[in-house]
Amino acid sequence: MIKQRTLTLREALRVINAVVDYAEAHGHVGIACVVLDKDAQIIAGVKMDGRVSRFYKAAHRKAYAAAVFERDTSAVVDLHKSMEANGTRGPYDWNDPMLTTLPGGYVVVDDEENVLGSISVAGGGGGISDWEFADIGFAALGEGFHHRPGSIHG
Amino acid sequence: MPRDYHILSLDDAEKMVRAAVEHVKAQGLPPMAVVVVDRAGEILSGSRMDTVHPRYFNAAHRKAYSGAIFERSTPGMNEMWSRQQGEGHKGPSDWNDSMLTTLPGGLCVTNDEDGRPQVVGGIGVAGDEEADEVAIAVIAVQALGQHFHYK
Repeated sequence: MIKQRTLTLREALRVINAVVDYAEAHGHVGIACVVLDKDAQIIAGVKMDGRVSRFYKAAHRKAYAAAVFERDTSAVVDLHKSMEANGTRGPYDWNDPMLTTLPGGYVVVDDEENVLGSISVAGGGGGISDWEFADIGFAALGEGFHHRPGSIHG
Repeated sequence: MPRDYHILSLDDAEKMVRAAVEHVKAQGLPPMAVVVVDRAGEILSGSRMDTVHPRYFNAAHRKAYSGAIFERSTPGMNEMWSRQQGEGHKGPSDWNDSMLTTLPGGLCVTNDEDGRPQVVGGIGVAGDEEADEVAIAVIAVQALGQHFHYK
């Protein structure tokens, strides 16, 4: 057997609560936030009151792409560009309808470079971007974690 | 703190596939397809013996997936389905997951080294209906040693 490591429900709830609290404290219209485990399965997810379902679906896809590609969605953009430069069609060639390069999907990695899962936010804007919310959520995980951003923000 | 858990390794999966294939050959049984998946239902190892139609590999994958995801044997899913139907639901069909199957030959693989059984993967065996797919899947699990069990 081999040992694997994943985010827990408690950690997922810390991320979600931090993001929701931040949105409420700043009078934001509301976001969706999703946290996935190592297998890219949902641990926890929320959609704030009044926001339509597309934001939850987008947040799920962002987190999925980050977990499966083991990098932030911004870095999936870089991957896409580099693969296109090499004559392939980048992530689209994976033909996976869950993949997206929309900003705000962060992979969660520990200090030993184990991928533990991912977090994401959708519905940002109006002064607070998806990645600003994602930064807030990520910080709530505490010490010992990092993500893998690309060359563009978010 | 993040949580640690175990899944089958590639060595485990290859050992299971090898045990199943060798048993089929030794007993002169009809050729089979065997697939081993991790706890998430993703393929770790699989083999389709010579002359076996590809549909059997697909079926073996779905059996292994169902065993791992539902944490029970595929016939066990049938029992659950029947019970849920009796309660007015449509059982596993209501999950609307095209990978699910109740065909026999899918097992959930567990390990009890940490004290209580933990799901570490699944196995599916598919082939000619003359052979006992479940018995072959059991032999594959037993090849892993005393701490591995099946549901």
